[in-house]
Amino acid sequence: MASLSRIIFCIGALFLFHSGYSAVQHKSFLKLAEMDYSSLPIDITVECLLGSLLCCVAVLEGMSQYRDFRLTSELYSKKLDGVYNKQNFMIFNHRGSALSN
Amino acid sequence: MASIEEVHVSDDAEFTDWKTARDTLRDIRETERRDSRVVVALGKILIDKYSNKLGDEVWTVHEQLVMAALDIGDTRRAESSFGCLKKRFSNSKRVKKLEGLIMEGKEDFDEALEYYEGILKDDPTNTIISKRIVAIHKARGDTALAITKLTEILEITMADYESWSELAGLYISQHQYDKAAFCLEELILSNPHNYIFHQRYAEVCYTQNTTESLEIARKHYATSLKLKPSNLRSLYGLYQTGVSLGKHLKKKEAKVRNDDIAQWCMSQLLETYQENCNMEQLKVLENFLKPPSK
Repeated sequence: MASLSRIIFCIGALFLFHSGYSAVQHKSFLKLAEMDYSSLPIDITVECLLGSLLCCVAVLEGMSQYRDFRLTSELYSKKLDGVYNKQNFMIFNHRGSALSN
Repeated sequence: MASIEEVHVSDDAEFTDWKTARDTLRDIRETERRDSRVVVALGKILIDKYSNKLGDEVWTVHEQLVMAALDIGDTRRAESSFGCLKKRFSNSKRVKKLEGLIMEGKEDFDEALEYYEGILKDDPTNTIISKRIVAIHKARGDTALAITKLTEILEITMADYESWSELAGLYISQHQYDKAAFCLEELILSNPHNYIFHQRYAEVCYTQNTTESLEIARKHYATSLKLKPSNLRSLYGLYQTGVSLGKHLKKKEAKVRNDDIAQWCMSQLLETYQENCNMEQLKVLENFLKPPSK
């Protein structure tokens, strides 16, 4: 899964880079032809948007796991054992030594 | 809705490989469980055979091992691990505490008390050491003195939720439920999203067994269930509270309402156990839950 998202990310990044390069080239073409700049051609815009979309998808997919957004879900796994056991107040004169021998 | 949680089995201390053992010890540290036998069984092998692989974690394991070994009465193991720590960190406060713990483990309480008071003279705000003094009084069975000492600590560090929790436990052991309830309220304030605090508070209120306290108990059992729906202990608590309130209250409407709550809890409990129990066991449970006939 991680390698697939990495490949998608690379494709998206290439798209982004290529659209930027085309935009620069388009501008220099306009300068040579002595035409006024109005807007970028539609294919460059689409390529740029597609590239950023692919990058977003890849980054979101590539992340390991989503965590529950509820505040309580982190405390779900807490057990009574952990809450009742207070390590700083531990005492040792109990049945533990008799049970383990 | 609810499901029976996996019961944690603490006696499976079989050593498979050092990585799993290390991860088990880490998990025990993080969840603050008291699986001392497991810790000693795994920690021993880790320290004896794989201490070079653990890196810096070896010191944490040593510390964990000292406390766990004392907990099961293996003083020799505790001393050997303590020796390693003492050599490495001669001036550390945490290691000093361990030295006191070993005295406590040998039940030399007077010596330990003297030792702790010596540390406190140089460093009066060291709460960990003050907590050990409370623990010594508790170990000697002098709960009243332990409570006095603990309230002194809490006057200085009011946000210390471990101490509040301990104080609540001490009050409960003395049957002073009003005071215990106050401590548990502090705990709820410190983290209102923890279902265990609500459940524990509700349990104390239920034990007080007056109409008002039962109503408070019902509220907090319900909150605990809302925060964690698969919480059978709260579900059973709510059932018991509903039954008791049904008996306590005089008004007919209030009676019916509480009986409804008890009925609902009973159906939820039965539904939960249906998945994992056979018919006979279910029947026993049903008879157990049935409110006594009037």
